[in-house]
Amino acid sequence: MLFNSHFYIFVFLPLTIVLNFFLNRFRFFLRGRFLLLIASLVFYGWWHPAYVLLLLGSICFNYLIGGSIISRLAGKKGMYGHFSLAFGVVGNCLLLAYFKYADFFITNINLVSGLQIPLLRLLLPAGVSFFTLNQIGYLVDSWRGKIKEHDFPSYAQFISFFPYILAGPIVRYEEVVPQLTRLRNRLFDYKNASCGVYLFFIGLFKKVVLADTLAVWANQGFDTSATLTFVEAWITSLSYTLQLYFDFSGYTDMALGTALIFNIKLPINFDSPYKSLNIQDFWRRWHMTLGNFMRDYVYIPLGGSKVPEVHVLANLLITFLIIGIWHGAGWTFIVWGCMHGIAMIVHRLWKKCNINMPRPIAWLITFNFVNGAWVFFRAKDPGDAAKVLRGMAGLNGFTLPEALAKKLAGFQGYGVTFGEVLGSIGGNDRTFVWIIALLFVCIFLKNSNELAQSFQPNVVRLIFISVVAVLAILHLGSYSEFVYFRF
Amino acid sequence: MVANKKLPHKKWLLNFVIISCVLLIFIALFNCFADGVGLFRFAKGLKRVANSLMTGKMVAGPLGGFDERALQKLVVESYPSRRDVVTVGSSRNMHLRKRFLHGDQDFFNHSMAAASIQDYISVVSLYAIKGNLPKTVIISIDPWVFNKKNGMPQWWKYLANPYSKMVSDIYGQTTKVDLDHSARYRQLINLDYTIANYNYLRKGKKLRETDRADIDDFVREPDGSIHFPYRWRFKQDERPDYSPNAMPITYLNNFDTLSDLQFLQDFAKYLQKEGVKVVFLLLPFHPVAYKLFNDNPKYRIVIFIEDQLKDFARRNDIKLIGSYDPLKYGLTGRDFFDNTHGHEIVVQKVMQEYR
Repeated sequence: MLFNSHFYIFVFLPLTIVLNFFLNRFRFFLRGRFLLLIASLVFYGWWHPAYVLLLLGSICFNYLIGGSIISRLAGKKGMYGHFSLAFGVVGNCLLLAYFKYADFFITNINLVSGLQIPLLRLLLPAGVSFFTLNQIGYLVDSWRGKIKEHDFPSYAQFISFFPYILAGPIVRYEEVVPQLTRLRNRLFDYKNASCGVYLFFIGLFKKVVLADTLAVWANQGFDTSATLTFVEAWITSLSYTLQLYFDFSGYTDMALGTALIFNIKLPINFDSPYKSLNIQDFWRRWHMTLGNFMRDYVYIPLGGSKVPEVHVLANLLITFLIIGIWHGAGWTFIVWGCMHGIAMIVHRLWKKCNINMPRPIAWLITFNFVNGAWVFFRAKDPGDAAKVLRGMAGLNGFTLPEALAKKLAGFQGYGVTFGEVLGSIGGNDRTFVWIIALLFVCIFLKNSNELAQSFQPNVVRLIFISVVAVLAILHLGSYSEFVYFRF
Repeated sequence: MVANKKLPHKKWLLNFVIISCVLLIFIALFNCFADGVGLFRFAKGLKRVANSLMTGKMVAGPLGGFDERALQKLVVESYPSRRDVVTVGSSRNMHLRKRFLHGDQDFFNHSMAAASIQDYISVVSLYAIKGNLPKTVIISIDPWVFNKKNGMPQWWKYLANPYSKMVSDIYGQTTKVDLDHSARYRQLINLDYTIANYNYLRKGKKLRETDRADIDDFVREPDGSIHFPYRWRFKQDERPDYSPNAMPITYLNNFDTLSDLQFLQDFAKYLQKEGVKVVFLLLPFHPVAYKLFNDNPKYRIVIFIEDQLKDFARRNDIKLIGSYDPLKYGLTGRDFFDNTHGHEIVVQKVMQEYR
């Protein structure tokens, strides 16, 4: 089910809220929890009910492994704990590999060996990348002794909780389960509900009004245009850079807002990433829960920064390579991950030089690097990425408005033509206004989490969010999936 | 300041729900009242339009802004006898006129904007339900109808019943189309529909009879064919034969697998079995677009589709006229007003093969 659907907003969410708090109000706590679990499974299985079985199987598998680690080792890391953990992590990775990477491996084996192994063409179960990470985190935390006890209803609810099952944020057992079981959280709280509703509709607006508008130019530029001129290529890449942010952060806002209505505070995922002044700063602000997960469960176990410098740099590269691969089965994701890994290495070496860069230049370099790297992230194949990058480098010439043809006629011999500036990507003058305005929003204004933190239930906010909500609902049109659903 | 006065959370939340609901209800009522497309109550004018066309008069007025499928239904239902020739297709086929056929044939053009295979089938099915299948059906086939991810609006669902009837007849088993009525009601709180209704009321452009085709508006001939407004009728796309700024064709996006080709072929075979002569019509694209189809692997599937259709037609004794290739008919950019839509001359040249 999509957050940005009429059914979710007008039927599923209100019904779940009312039934849940109604049951809890009359002290049917167990039924209330059962209702939330069923609601989460309905939400998850909305498109492909069969995958609910996969989810339940995965939950049972991890619950049993986690249980064996917790009960038998009681925090002591003996051989049995090692074995259980390894078995559990490998099991989760295999599940992910089967659904997500099988065709990628087969394609490359066919390419190298000349074989004709047929592709499996499996449908990627929604949210599998996210709930797999949540479960791996749970197993490792059990092994580290952070989780002392667990019960199946809590665990099933923790993994399947509908606000985050499809696209995060990635959560830890110890930050969610205590909230799910706390007695006070079972009663409707107007303060949390107001703030949750406020955040939800800001997120919805970001998705359906901002991200979906930008998607048109990004999709045309990446997917359908044969070639892109300089301006078209830059608008294409900037459109995607902004689309991805508003889409994913909008989804996260809706997830956080929904959870808050149920009195569950989830970790934030975005903190104005395009304000970053270096790449390390960027990763502290972008998809923060993934960054934290990779730090705690990959980078630090590899040795982190407490090993010789060469190893630290290798650890960084490995961590970002895994981040790239986690996002998708394709060489473009691997390139994207490597680019970020190398950028982190360069940043670390630069920091050791103790040279301060002026803030505007630092921002410009960071933003342009991120923007350029997103080209690989978005492109369906290396050819598409090359097409956009060639255009950005000006190798396909420059098209200026027809109105300037007479004044700048002398430039015509230097790769400059006159005509429709954004013809290939279906843009017009308003496209520039959108891009500039949204860059301004990203760089200079408060983000939605800051707005939610400073939330005051006053008339200004009431009018603001009512207008935002109505506009967003009016924009709910055709099916529009979130970008991160495909990861 | 009142604006910054802090309200109790409960009051704030209830006020939010009330304000949002009131605003949405107001918009829904406005759309229900204006109802430019006639989604909620059968557009009163449509019957009049159908009658005008049936009595040999031209009708001017917007092409959209009303339920085009409902008009086609009325046209079919109000025509008493068996037609010689009908054509189904999209806006690319709207220029196909009676005079392009040889002799005085009883002809009607049922082309509709963004038509899909389902639309082709629905319209022909309306005739079948009446027991008056036409003698010849010219199916103008756009390549994107085989693209599952074409993102085209699902307007054909307004003719879901005749569609399911025909599909049941083709496959010999009952087929029920999952008609999503909620889609219709969701339009009540849809921005595009609200804007369309506002323009509908503000401009007051309604369908009306006319005796002249040379007016700056859409003009529907009694044979169902269309004259476009001046901004398209006299626009000539004079781009060179290849320009990097080739405008993409949205319906061909993400066209990685061919779907529904077999479905169309089954439909054609069924019509043949029922004694209907089937003609496939492939209308050329702008030279820039066609070059794109050849040069860009993402679009090469269009060339493949043409080959497939030709092969099927040859094997099944179906007449196929036209080609997506404009050069075969000596067409240039001047004969088109955008990548996909040609002027009347395009259809006229291709239809010479029909004679």
